[in-house]
Amino acid sequence: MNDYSHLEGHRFPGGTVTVLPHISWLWADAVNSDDPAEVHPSYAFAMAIEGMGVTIDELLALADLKADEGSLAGELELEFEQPLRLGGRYRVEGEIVAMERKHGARMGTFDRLRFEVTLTDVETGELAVRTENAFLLPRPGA
Amino acid sequence: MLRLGEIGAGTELESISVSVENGKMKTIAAIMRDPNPTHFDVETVRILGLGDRLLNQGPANAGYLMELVRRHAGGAANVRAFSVRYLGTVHEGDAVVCAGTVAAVDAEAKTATLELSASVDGTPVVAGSAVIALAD
Repeated sequence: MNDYSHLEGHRFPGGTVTVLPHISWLWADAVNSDDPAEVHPSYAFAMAIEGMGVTIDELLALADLKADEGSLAGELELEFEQPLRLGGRYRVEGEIVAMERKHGARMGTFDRLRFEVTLTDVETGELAVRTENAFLLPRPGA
Repeated sequence: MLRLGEIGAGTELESISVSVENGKMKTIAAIMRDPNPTHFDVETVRILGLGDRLLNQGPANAGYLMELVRRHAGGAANVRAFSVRYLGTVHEGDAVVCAGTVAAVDAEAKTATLELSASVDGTPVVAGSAVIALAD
């Protein structure tokens, strides 16, 4: 079975994301916010995914996995330097920080792909959010 | 909204319960451009041995817990940090109960650390912690 540790340090193309009021509202409603007019803090994860320059499909493909092969979300961390603002435009940058082979009762052998993404307010140049996430990629037979 | 001086370690947060609805799963999938068929194809869920109902997206489950935090923080501006692990799968139609407890209060920094847990029928599905700023 392939070793994917060479992906550590792989930088994403990045990009920019604008907090569109209607999308922000839809996200807030979907996570049951009682104030969907406010940008929900969890929306930062969706912004990271949208702006990092690769889709989830493409991220999985880097590790030779397809979307229907049972990948699962593993962990989510968010650190806020400032709240996200409606209409705000953010520069998105990120990279894969770790690719570790693991064994667990639920998934058997799997790779834990961890990636970090930052959202920086384009208008102020200040860091707004840092997020680190882990996807669990099944490796049956490994 | 939690206030400094009114809480301490062990203070329980008012829990919330969220019913996982198919329409909202579609919204999350569309916004994230999530191609995982376990969110829209029951047959894939069955083949993977993950049950016989669609799986909710992990970030949605985390979002419910974040909503618990946001409400007790008095708004997004007071949420400083949030960290969770996904422990189990959540299916369409499940009721996700989000609960929390104050783990520690830093009176000098005016922050509180919260321990968080989301569960379905008593089984934990997401767990973690958060740090929020406290009002005086």
